[in-house]
Amino acid sequence: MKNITSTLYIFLKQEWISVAVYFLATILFLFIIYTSGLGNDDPIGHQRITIMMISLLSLFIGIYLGSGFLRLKRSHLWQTLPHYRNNLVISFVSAAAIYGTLQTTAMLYSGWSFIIAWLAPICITLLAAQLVIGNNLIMKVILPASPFIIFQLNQYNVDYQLLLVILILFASLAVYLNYENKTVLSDATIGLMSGNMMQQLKNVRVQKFNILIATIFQALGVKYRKKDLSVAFLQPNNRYGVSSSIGVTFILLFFHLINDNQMELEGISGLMLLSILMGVLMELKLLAPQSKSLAHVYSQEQHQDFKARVLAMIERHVLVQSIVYGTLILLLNSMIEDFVEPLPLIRYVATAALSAIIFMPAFLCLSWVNINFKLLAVIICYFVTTIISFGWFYNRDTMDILFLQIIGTGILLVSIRYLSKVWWRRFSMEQFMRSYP
Amino acid sequence: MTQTTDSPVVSFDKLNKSYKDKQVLRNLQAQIMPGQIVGLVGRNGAGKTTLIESIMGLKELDSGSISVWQQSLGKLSDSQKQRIGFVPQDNIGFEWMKVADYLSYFGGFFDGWDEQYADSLISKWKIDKKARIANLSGGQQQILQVIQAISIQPKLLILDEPVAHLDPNMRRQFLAELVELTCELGTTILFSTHIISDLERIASHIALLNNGCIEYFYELEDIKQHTAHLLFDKPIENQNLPPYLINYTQLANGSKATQVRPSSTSIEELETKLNTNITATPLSLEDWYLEVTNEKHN
Repeated sequence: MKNITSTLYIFLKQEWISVAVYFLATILFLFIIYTSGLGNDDPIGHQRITIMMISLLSLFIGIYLGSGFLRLKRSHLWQTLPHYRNNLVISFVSAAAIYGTLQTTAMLYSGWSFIIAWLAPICITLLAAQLVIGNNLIMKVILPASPFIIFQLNQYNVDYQLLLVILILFASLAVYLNYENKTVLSDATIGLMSGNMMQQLKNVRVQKFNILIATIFQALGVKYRKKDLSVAFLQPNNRYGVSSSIGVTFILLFFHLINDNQMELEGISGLMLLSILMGVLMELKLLAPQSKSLAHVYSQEQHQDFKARVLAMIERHVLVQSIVYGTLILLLNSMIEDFVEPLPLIRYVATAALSAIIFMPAFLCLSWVNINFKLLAVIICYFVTTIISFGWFYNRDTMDILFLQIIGTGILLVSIRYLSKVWWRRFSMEQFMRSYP
Repeated sequence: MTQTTDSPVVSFDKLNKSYKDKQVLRNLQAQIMPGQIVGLVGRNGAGKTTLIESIMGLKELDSGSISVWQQSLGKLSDSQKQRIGFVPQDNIGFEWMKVADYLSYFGGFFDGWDEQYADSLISKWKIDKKARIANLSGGQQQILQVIQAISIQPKLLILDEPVAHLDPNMRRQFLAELVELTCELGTTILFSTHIISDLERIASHIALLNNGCIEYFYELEDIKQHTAHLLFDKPIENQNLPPYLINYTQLANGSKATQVRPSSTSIEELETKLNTNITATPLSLEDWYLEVTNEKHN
């Protein structure tokens, strides 16, 4: 028991401030939902919106807890001492339960029964953590997405109590698979996929891509001696993106088959996109420290400048990738949807753009090493802006000023991001990189 | 732990392990007895880490079995596993933790955890308990893992290149600590290293891993006393050479070979057998290692 409390303490200590943040954000969500009139005319829809919002929170919490779990799983004791493995899994589930319980109030307020209000966020958190912990594509993509799929079954009048049972079964399966996976993760595999540069460089396609990237580097006026290394930053993102897209497309097709509710569909598409980007971001956390060695290879003397340029390129890449994937997925949606009811394509493109923009601050949050009060302020701004923009977006029948809203949101969020970068993040990233040899 | 002084602490039985096309362990057999300090040596890629990780159950073998305290790895109880200390070759991996938190957290999983002893080692090796692990040097991070492993009062201690990042002073202190541990607790130690001089200080036995198996497993004293460069005053027919002589070379005025294994045949008896005069120069452990790892077929 003593060990469980100390492991739990480590989990919560790492993200102690996020407890307050997410509790606050939960209340904020509900406040905005009510004040914006979202779902007022449809109590069932209102409940669904709540569960989606809670799912979004749980996704964040799950990813944080998953990262903590992976960090502790690195010890060889995971494989050699069953006592340690039991302890870690119990603590992980307990931490998810603590976070989940914090959201119960918000769920109860939206009219959910107590048992669902209490257990659903816990299960969603455990499943969302698989995005980080899962050791294969199914666990990384399908399990985190399963709550959304399960709740869609309500379309067939399946009772929510039964859906909760299915959700619990999925969450139990996820935890069981985590427990049974005895592989100890090394530095190279702690990300969502292999971050081992040398393994990736053996791939012929990687080498071709590499030449392209190296040419870009050259165009930027960067002196380099070996072309091979530049790919290490960008290729993993592409690989992860492609594989996730397949998973996401599959899930969206499934939704299309069972669902005709546009609003939910777009919201879910956003969440799915989030999962891709989270993957990219987690990968970045792994790869960013390697920019130091890359800088030594490519640059002659200006290492710091070069590192900053590499990081800027990665960020640009994340943004471009999010827009490309978002647009592709939503275009696919619209093509399928045209068979049912023709809708303006612009709405999909706008959703993709909005999704891309709102994920940028998420990038900021995740690349932060330690959560602190400054980050808390940024996250609150982020959540408020996101929810307000979603509220505006879905409450409008006309598209006339939609893009203006998106541009406004973008400017606000990028400003927050820029300021935080100037004031805090640069220091934080430097500290982050210094901590790696 | 049911164990007598005659029963091995660790037994390897026909271990085989391959990575793709490369066979790293090949029918490897050996036994480590209680109280032995076994230095595991071999060239890079010889399979030392694979062997060590197999003992810990971190690597799955293709075939063969490993017994610890005469039980297969899977059958060891939790309390038995808690008496095995292990220092891996990898980085410590918990850079975000503070030294004190790291020790108390991981120590908490072991019944034999001796916090006072850990504290005394921390002070002795001048590590700041409040420092974050990320801010420690590579050597300090390595020694922290060692402290964690030896403060659980292990009955079996397995170390994979534990001194690679340590300066000579720290290495001396570390080796002294190992000897003390063996004396006080009767700990059996297996450690791999490339620093041969360390082995000469503390190892009771040397195991040389070559071509996937333990080619040499001798007491250190046997190697020191019974191995030598032999200079013959004339060429020797290859077929007459006993198998414990390797790296035979003809010289302008004679020939030479190296005795790398203890033998019951004395130099005088060998002189009579080969009908030649022999000048024997004892080998240092490092010379011995170089000779056996560069062995030419006679």
